[in-house]
Order: sequence, then C-alpha cells, then structure tokens
Amino acid sequence: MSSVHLREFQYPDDYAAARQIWAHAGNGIQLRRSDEPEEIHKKLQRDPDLFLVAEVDGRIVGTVIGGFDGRRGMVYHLAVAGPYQEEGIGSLLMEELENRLRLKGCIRCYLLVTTDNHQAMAFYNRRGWKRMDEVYIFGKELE
Amino acid sequence: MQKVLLAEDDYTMVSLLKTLLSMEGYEVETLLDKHGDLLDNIRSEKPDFMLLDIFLGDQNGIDIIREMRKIPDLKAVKVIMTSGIDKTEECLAAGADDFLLKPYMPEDLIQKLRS
Repeated sequence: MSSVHLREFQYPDDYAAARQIWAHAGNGIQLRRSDEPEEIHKKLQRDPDLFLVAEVDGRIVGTVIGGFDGRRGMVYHLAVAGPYQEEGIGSLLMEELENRLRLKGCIRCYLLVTTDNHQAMAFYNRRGWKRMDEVYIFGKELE
Repeated sequence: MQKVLLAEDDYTMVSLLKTLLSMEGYEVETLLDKHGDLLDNIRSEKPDFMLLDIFLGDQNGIDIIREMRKIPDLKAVKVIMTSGIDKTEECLAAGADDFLLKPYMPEDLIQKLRS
C-alpha cells in the first residue's frame, strides 16, 4: 500500500469524503444531527487540530474526531474505508490523536463503542483502553 | 443544460451533491421521496447522467442497471455507479458506464461526468 499521510480535516472540502466513510462504517457510527455540515463546522471552531483525516494517494480513507474540554478528552468517529482496513491506518490516527490530546494537557479520554462492536473493543483493548463497566452513559438532546 | 439524476439514499449527500453539481451547471434531480416504480421514475426524469449507489435501501443498484439497459429509453443514460467496495468489474459488466469508489471527492464525480 502507498504511504499514509495524516492531516487536519479541512471544511468544507473534506466533508463529503468523510461523510461517505462514516455512512459505510456500519453500526459503529450512526449518523446524527451532530454530523450535519453546520454542526461539523461548529465543532471546528474548537479543537480544529483534533479532527484528523488519513490520506492514501491523495484520497481520504480514514477519519477520527477528538475533543478536549479542559478536563477530559473524547474520541469520535474513528473510521477507515473498507478497502483500506487492516492496514494500521486506524492505529496511526489514534496514535496521532492521543499525542495531540496529551500535548494539550489531557490526562484522561473517553470513547463510546456500541455493545455489539467486538472488533472495535478488541482494537481499543490492544491500544490500552479499558472498558468501564462501572458507569452507564447518559444522553440528552438539547434543542 | 444536462440533467443528473441522483440515486443515493443519504439526504445530506444528496443535498451536497445537488449544490455542487448545480454550481457546475448541471440540472440535478433526485429519486429521494419519489413513489412508484423506480424505472418509471427514471424514465420520466429523462436524465443525461445518473449516479447510482449499489446499496439503495432494499434495492440493489446492479439489478437496477441491468433492468435499465433492457429499456430502449434508458440505454443512452450515462450511469456512474458507486459503492464503498470496489465493484468496478461487476458494475461495468451489468451495464454501467463508470464506477466511483467511495469515499470519493466531489471533483472525482465532476471529472467522471465530463469524461
């Protein structure tokens, strides 16, 4: 495979390619209002350096979105396009994001995995992430 | 003005492509929210080009292109098929004119339309 290049997401140029990757990522990513162009644009007003894409031969083939609120980090939408999976691109994206979060002073991060996504759980376990059985995730829509 | 028909089931992608292709001078129609027979809808739109996703809800784009190529009115439509898996050979064999592997950049689509 050609070399992988990581860079920051550029809005709006990269949006269509990123959305196609998320749409084909299976149950691991459920496209929601937060993924609409205006919401992605809003997210980029904060931590634009934590939204990364992976390119191969000039094509976007992977994404990861990070966030840091000053206390905790969050990781969203780690996804790699089908033909490019199992090539270590997800690991490269996570490594770069974790480094960037660390440099911002982040000492602990969270991410969400659907309960049936065993492949993702194994991936994160290998990278040193620990499942937190002692907590539930609560969510609320703020209209 | 040449007409592009979008057979894609992601509303946001359709909206993006509509904006982009309109800026490039194409008339753009979509099959979203169209009721009735799919082939009848395509025939009534009389598109010059069609962007056809392989996975369209409960329908398969490969079956659709095969049916299209049996209908005299639809034989001349230039059909570009798309998927997240490389199905180039299968799509071309079924009658597609071209194939775009997702994720593609909008410029890739415009290049295919112009080629």
